[in-house]
Amino acid sequence: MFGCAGITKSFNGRTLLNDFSFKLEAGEGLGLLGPSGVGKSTLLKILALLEPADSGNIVFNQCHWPARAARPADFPANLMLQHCALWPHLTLEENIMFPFIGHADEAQYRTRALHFAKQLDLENALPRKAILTSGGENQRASLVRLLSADPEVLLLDEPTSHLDEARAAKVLLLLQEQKENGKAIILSTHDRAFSKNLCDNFITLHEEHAPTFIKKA
Amino acid sequence: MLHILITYWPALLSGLAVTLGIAGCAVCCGIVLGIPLGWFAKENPNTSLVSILDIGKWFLSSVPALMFILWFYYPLQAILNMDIGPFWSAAIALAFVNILMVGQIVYAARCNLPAGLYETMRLHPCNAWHRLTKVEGPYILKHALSAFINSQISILHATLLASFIGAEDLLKIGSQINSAVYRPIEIYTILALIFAVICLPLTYIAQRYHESRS
Repeated sequence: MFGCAGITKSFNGRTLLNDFSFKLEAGEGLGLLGPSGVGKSTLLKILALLEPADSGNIVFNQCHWPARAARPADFPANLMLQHCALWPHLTLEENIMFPFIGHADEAQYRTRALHFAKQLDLENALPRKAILTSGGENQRASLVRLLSADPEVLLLDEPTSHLDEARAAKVLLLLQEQKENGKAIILSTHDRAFSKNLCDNFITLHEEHAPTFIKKA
Repeated sequence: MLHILITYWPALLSGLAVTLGIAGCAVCCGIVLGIPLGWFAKENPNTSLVSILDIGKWFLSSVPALMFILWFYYPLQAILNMDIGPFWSAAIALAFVNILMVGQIVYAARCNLPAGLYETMRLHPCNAWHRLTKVEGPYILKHALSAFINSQISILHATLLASFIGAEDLLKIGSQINSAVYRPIEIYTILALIFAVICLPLTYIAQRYHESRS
């Protein structure tokens, strides 16, 4: 079980989250909805322990991390950032593989990465530098890197914003496979159809009042 | 001009060796100590390393390099009761200046890293050596190289100040030759050409890197 408890976050004098809590079981998908600037990306960063909250905890099974804590290396949730953040001087393959270089299971990670890259039609772009590849290719490479790391909880910030329908469908298929394999997914997107196909529950963030929880019918 | 070069080339060469020796010491110290200073200041922002760079920045922008050399050669040695010759005094003073300059360049380059890339490194930490040599290091190098080369050229120029404390550098040797033959136009043109030959390729590389970035 992954979730958060009592998260409060203010930014520039505005309260984005006030005593916010939710939980998510393994194999479940949770969609974050709401207009731009409402705090979806911030919430995902808080859940990844990338950005400190004012108070509250992140919970995974029996473990609790204060939401102000530094991110530990073995944290069970990992985030695909909205802006893909690939190193422009590295090839897509190097961008995917750099966290695993020198790791005891490097070969295994490489096999996984190639498997996911193949599923997302990314094989041919792997040897090209990220500065020369398209936004869609970079976005898929970011997703491959995230999946290759094999976190228990996948936090996805607009994972299909640069993709055409066909490629978005392949991403959906891959993420549905991950869910079936027991991964929990928290997704922020403006693509309603994509989130409906992937998520079991939704949280809508509002500027004026507390988030609303919606269970898929 | 050719006559002066032919007659005095051993003296000019020894002056050039002193100039390059002082510059070489300062550049090596800048690389060996300045790069880690800037790198770790960003890595540990709450340590005194950032304060050292901040104070250094203020000093370098307000105190001329000549003052560092003079201060190190006269009052500091008197206070510490030491006796260090002009060559090493100039080398140490300029090394101090260069360590701060290089540290600031590396620190600024790391601070200007796009936020997304910095977050990526936190989400996907990797082997520290791999990060330095293959991931972040080359990116920083490319973005800081132009400023780095320009700063090293300014250090090379600043070695001329060593003649103020009596180091037998290129300027001092040139002045001595001029005292003997009084041909200032030719002699100082030769000195300028020597500096141009050394600095122009470096300036060209810095310019190319600057253009490739923009």
